[in-house]
Amino acid sequence: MSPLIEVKDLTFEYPGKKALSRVSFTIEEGSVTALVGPNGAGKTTLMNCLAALARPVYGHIRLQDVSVLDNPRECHRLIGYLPDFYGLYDDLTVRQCLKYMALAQGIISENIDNAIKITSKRVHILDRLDVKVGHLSRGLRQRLAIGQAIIHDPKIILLDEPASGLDPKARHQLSELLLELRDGGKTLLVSSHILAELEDYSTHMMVIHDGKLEEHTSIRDHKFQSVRTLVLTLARPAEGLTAALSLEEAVSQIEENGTSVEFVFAGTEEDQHHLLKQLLSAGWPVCAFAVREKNLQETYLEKFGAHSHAS
Amino acid sequence: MLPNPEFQRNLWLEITPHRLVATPLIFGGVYYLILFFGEHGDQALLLTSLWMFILFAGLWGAYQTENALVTEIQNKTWPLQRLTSINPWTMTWGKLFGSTLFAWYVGLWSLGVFVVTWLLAPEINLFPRADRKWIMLSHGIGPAVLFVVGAVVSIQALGLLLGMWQLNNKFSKTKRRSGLSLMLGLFLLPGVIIPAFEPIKWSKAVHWYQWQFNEFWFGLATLYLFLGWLVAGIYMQMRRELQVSNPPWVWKAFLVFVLVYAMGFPQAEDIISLNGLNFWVARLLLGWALMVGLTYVILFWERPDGVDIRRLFHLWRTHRIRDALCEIPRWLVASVMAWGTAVGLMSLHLVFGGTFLSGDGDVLNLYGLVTAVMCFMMRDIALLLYFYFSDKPQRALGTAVVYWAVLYGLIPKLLEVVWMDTLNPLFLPDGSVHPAYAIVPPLLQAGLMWRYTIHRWRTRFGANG
Repeated sequence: MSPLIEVKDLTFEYPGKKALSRVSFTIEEGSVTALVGPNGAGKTTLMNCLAALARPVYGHIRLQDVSVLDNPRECHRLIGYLPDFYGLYDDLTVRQCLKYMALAQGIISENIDNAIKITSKRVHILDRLDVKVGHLSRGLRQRLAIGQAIIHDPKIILLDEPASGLDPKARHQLSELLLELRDGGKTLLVSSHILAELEDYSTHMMVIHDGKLEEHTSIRDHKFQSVRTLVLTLARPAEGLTAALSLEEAVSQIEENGTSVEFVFAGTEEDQHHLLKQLLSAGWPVCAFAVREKNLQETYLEKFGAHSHAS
Repeated sequence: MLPNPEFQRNLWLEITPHRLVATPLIFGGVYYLILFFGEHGDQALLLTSLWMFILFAGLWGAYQTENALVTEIQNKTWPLQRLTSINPWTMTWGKLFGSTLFAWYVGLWSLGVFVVTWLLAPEINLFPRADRKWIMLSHGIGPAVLFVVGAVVSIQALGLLLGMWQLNNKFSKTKRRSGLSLMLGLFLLPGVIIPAFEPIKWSKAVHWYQWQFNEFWFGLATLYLFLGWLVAGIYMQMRRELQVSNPPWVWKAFLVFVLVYAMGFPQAEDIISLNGLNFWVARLLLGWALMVGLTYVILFWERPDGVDIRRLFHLWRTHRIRDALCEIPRWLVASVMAWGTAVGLMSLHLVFGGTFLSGDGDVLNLYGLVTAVMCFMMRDIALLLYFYFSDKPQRALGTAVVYWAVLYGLIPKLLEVVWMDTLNPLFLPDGSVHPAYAIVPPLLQAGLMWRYTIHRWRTRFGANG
């Protein structure tokens, strides 16, 4: 199956600054990619290029079978984009804003009311349709902006810092919406400061640093990697356990903290099974044995923490 | 539902029930007072209603079109519009006529009063002396309405073009102000509209090439031709904003149009009385001067930066010639046209001979003057590019303007004060001196400036660009 998004050698410069340097990647349909990197890394520029808002110096971008550079207007039918700093028409009502976007995205007149209904339900603003946008709270404005981006039911949704400035409840609702979109088969590329939230719905992580693509990988790969951290919880402190563990070839970096022992294990799942069996048969007071999954934040910091902050 | 979403959005914003009702009441009241309580009521009503139309639909409309884009940027809604599937043409006319909807609503009431007054009032009341009737009314109310409507749409289109110019400022996304169109509109009014209010008795024929035209019809045709180019200019700029590449021939066609249009005006008898040049040389001289002027205008407009030029080089190197042709900077096309006309002009002068006299009757060397102007132009292009290739390209235009003011204004003035005018050819094109003295200084300056500019380009972007 050909990828839904294909980017090759994408290079973008602002006068006086190279923002993207030969960035290449593909994104499969139905995936949710977390786009992370420090401030100024080129994330927004990349999204702007994908959305045909900025013209690269060179490179190719294809969305489905549409070349973004050759047919920028056509690609907008495939894309829904929420920029980081978006504006809304404060003097229009929510309904008028959605109607404007529906018309502007080429939805035929007979389907517009239905599109408004579905979208406003999806972003939970059905009860505010006749309220002027200028009177909406920040959270509601964010929902409307997302509604405007998805009213034409695009295959690809780009969200640049969608949770920025939202309260915890609104963030939770946003997570739910993104999960719903993912389950509906949409392909999402989401940039966010809050990596823990991205983890809830992301299938892939793409790291950009200094205009270059540093990593593009499946988050599943990170979670089920052969080198992982195991955590033993003990019924009571056990003297000598650390020494016993250190004799195991696959075990390293042991840290003991009262009734909890944490260590890095570099064996297979079968090796892991044997280790547990061995510990129990030796009579160590093990009451829980678990893999401590690294979250996105840790993975990011582990790889890139030396030279950047996640943003 | 309207087929143009941008027009529809403006309709929601601009036309409210309050405005719909209040406008005719207020303007109806004003016109009632003028008609029944003013001196020469019919005449005053005709004049006031027409000027109300021009001011509201024209000047205020121009402010609205310019503001339509400036506020989109300020309110960060322009990216939202660019993300839609609205095509550049729909966006162009949606903005041009959408943002001015209320201005048109107000203006059309006044235009209606103007037309009704003309049709109903006895002509003797409106113009007691027939020869004092305005030129625009010389062929009846229909052509007059066509003229004022064309003039108003042109001023509005100019406002939109100025708004596009502010959008085009890729170096500063915040410093945008509405109001340029108002200033330009006030500047253009005397030149475009006021002559049409002159009495018929002052009307004279227009000579263009070998043809003779009625002044009003020629003016009307010119107005609509330039309106067409204005709309084409907005459309091309809109395409650029919406990331759609432009065909390479439109700007060239415009330059050729300006050249052909302007060259039609110098007439043999004027030239003989003014200077000793050959008739066609004089025509080409005007065309060449316009090409040089347009090169500077488009340099101001285009804000050339290294990234655009790099993209052009890349397209060229990868043999995407068609795309490369679409990316050629317009200042480059204009400067090539200026060089073409300069060479043509000097060749014609060589063939036909003739003496080139200044306004004071001094004999000027046309070759020296034209070549010097071209060298200064090349130096100025290099100077501007030099600043645009710097680390702070956002200041390039302002810095270049300061340098030009010093080079063309301050230094020659200082030389004059200290009686060293003989050094003027170092800083200004001068046809009254020996051609070598006129040409060599600007040629050296141009060469030096291009050397610096190319060096900076290589430092910034590498030897291959």
